Amino acid sequence: MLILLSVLGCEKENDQDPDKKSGGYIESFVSLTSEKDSLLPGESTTITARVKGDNISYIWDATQGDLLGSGNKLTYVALLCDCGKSRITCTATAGSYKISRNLIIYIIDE
Amino acid sequence: MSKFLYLLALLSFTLDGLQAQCFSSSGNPVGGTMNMGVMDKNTFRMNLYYRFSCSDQYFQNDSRYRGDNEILQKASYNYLGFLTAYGLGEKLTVELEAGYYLDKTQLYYIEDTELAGRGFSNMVVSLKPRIYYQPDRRFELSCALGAIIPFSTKMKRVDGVTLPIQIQPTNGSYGLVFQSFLVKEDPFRAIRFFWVYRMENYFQNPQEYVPGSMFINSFFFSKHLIFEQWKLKDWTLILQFRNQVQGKSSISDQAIGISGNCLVFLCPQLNLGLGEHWNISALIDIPVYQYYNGIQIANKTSFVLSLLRDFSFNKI
Repeated sequence: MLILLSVLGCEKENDQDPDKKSGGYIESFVSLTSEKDSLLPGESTTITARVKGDNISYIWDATQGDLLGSGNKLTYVALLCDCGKSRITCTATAGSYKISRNLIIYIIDE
Repeated sequence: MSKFLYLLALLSFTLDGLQAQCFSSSGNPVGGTMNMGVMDKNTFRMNLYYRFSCSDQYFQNDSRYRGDNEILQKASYNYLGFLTAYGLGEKLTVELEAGYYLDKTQLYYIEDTELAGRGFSNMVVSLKPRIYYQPDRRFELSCALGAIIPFSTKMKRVDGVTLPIQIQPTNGSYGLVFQSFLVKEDPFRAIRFFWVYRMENYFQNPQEYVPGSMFINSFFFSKHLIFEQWKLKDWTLILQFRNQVQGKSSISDQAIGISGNCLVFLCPQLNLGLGEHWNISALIDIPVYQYYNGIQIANKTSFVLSLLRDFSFNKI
């Protein structure tokens, strides 16, 4: 009976937070930062996403340039054909949580 | 006539786009593939080919670039193409082109990072009417109008990171293709001349990207050779001279300055006929002139291996 109660107790606690049960949650998207905010074509910079939570996955998009790497830290490369504003979007997901942040990097024509 | 249709089909692989970095990197073979002329009624053609292409040198306008702005060490792809055609009538053929990128890879100088995409490319569905045909003079003129349909309009991701457009298996853009074919045979000397023109025009994809329009002009010369003493006796030598112009791509209605090119290739090709229905073929692309807007990675090596088979459903 004790074992059954403790199992039910655990289930009840997890039911209160189903995302923790399924293995992920996000408390907050703390920051999305780049070492440089402007680049010449051909240059690169490191971009870091800081997110509080557990079991977080990251999805990255860029309107221009290439993104190298994975996880919460990537290298962004401005291509020779890129110019102007490039919007980098990082979406953090965990369970049913999903938060996005944008970052603008300026690619300056030489 | 059916023999030259075979040849025209085999020649088609040579028109695959050889493209440069910045929205045209390792190319898009289905979009750039052209095809055979009008087929005999109730004849079905299947055509499988493999293309490898590698780019590892930069060009600035029309000369080699060896500066500090190189980003990629290499861009390459391995592609399996599939073409089918069916003769709906004596003067009308319907055609389908499709393909799959086994890989489309970019190797960066930054930490030797490699990015690769794979998947289905675009599909092209065309209708090809014969415009003019004079059997006595062995002369034919036909054209084709088709629709380019991407297999997906969503950009692919690897490990959560959206791949650059250059290595997406499809650019996600719908488009239109117009082609014209002119064929002149000299059966007594077993030679043929072909002229093929292909134009591709694209619409904006959901990411607001529009690939540059493509204009391809190809002139072919072929000589059929029979070696009676050989076990494999049915050979054809083909020489293609191709000019390929790609306009500038655009994103969010802004033209991308460093995109677009004008290229000229010489493409020797060897074809072997096996029995009545099978043909295998190999060719290489040799760039003889390359002009790129700005600094772009340029094609260096490219070859195609193909296998073709016709099936006739005509009652004998």
